[in-house]
Amino acid sequence: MTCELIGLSSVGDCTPNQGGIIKSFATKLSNITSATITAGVISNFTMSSTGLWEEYEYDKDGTANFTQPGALNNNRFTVEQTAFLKFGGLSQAYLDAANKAAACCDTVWIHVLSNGTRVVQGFEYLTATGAPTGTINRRTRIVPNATTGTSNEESRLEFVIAGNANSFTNTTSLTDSAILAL
Amino acid sequence: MAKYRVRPDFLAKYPDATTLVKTPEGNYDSVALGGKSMSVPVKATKDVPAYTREVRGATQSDLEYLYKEGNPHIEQVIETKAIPESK
Repeated sequence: MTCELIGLSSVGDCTPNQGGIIKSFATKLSNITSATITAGVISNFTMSSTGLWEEYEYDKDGTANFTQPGALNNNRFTVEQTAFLKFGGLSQAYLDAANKAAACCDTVWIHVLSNGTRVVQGFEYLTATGAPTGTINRRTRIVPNATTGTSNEESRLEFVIAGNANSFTNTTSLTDSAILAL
Repeated sequence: MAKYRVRPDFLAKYPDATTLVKTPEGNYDSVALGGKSMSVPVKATKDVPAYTREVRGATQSDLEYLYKEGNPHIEQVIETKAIPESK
């Protein structure tokens, strides 16, 4: 990506910029044959078949989040992309989902932020329409954690979705119903 | 008149490929690039029981929309009329 400095203004001192993510959708990278970019935003996906996006509705308890801290090692810039999702309870269905999720090598996630923005985790930033390339430095994988907790805590399944890229994520303009219609 | 088609090599590799087109009302409609409609079973969630979703086959106007959107899997086909041989 070429160097350019773009001035920014904060949304406003007193605007409550609520953080967190409220819902996510996931698919395997290999299911996406191309992503369409319109005015810098992903406006469409072409999928190898239909019904390949899965919806994840996790606990709304202030724990779900997605972070992209940049890092500089000498002159090498990278971005560690990490999402955290928590599903209350533990069951055979949860453990099945965890085992299968852990086996996926390259995954793509759309996280819906509390402010309505939708970020796409799992591939390098796209500036033009085309087939996406997975996160280059480390594949975006799911690390499930299943824990009973103690009797004072809650049992839960946690998904940590982590990858390492050369760039920050794209966003998408696709709605929930559009993603599920794909 | 210009016609549009899915690139044959892409279709051979992904015969069930799907994407979205925008309706005149501004909604999204999923279309199957192979041109044939497909039925997709949708799993039940805690809020919605299982149901079957229909994906219609892409029409010429869908392909034109996707071509103009820049979809790399669609190409324009220029029809040429055969010139009758002169006697």
